[in-house]
Amino acid sequence: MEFPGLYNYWITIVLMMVGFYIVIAHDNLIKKVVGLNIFQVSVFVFYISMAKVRGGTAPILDAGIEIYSNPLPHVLILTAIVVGVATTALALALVVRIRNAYGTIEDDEIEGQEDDA
Amino acid sequence: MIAAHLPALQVVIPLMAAPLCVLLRRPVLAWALTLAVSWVVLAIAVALLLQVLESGPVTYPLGNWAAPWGIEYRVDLAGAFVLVIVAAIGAVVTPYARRSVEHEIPRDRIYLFYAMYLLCLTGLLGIAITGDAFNLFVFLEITSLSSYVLISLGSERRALTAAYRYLIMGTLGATFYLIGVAMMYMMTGTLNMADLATLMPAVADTRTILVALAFLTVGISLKLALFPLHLWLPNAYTYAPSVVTAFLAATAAFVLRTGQLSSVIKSSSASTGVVYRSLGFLRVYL
Repeated sequence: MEFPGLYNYWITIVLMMVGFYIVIAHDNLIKKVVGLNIFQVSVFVFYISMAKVRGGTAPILDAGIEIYSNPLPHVLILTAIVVGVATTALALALVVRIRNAYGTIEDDEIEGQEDDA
Repeated sequence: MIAAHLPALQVVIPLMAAPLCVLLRRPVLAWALTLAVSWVVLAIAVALLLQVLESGPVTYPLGNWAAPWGIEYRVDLAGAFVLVIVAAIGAVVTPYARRSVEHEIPRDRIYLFYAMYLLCLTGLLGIAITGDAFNLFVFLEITSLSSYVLISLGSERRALTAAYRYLIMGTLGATFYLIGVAMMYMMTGTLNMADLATLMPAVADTRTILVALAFLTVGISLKLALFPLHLWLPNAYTYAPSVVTAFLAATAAFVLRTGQLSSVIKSSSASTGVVYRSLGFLRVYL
């Protein structure tokens, strides 16, 4: 196996773990959303790179185009990106409301307030 | 004539009613529309069940694209029962929702509550009816996003943090599910669940499929709040408005566990099927 091999999968895994780590390790609610986005993007990269055919062009039905990339995963990810944007928007809206209600967006401070109550 | 389009109408009617709710604005009107829709949906589900009992599974190619390529709605006997049960719970909860909602939610937000409630119903019915693994993800997210909003509408401020935690866990779960679907697609080249179930046994022992099943299991378990991935659930259901708890607790987990995806997973190998059934039992007792 030549060295970089299927390097796109390595990139996916690294991005995925970075995102996952941020979601778990950070107390700041905005940073968690950022981590969640990185995590989702890694899966988008996974789908898109898996559909790429080496030497292939865009999937256009025309004379002279014989090898083309698989368009289906690309279209699926278009949908997944929309879902991801909606999720991010909702998460940020929730953070705004949490900030109004608690006066902070640090998870440990919020938990402290909840324990006091 | 209209009977042929029942599977699509089952999902489309509540979906169209949700923005209509936002346009109507008046709490009473929004509630009346929601009530009408939930009973119509129940009627359609019963009609579908009768159709399935009479003439076997009903399939509906959306936009007339034939099955393995286009998205297919598929109602078999189990699916028809799930549809009837979800629709029935919706139809029973909605009449009582009016007074409970007036108590718990500020008047100027009530119409938004009903819009989200209808979207949630759309998603749950969609999960039960769709025959496409990626379409399932979309409906899963419709259900989840609307239920995050519904939970955050609870009167205490803790509802907000509960909804936020649910959002983080739910999105992780959905993304895990997406990875699982990607790997199954890599090995079989299809997203249609009936097609997947026939193609999976041939590749069931490869490492990719095992990893895919692991991702699917974790993803769906997060969504189901299956022990030990259930930590988001107690707060979410405690601080949500009571109507939401009544509706979601009764339907959400049930729909997911009995979905058509289980046939795909069972087909892949006997041992994973056993694991799934035992996970199902755990969920029942916890």
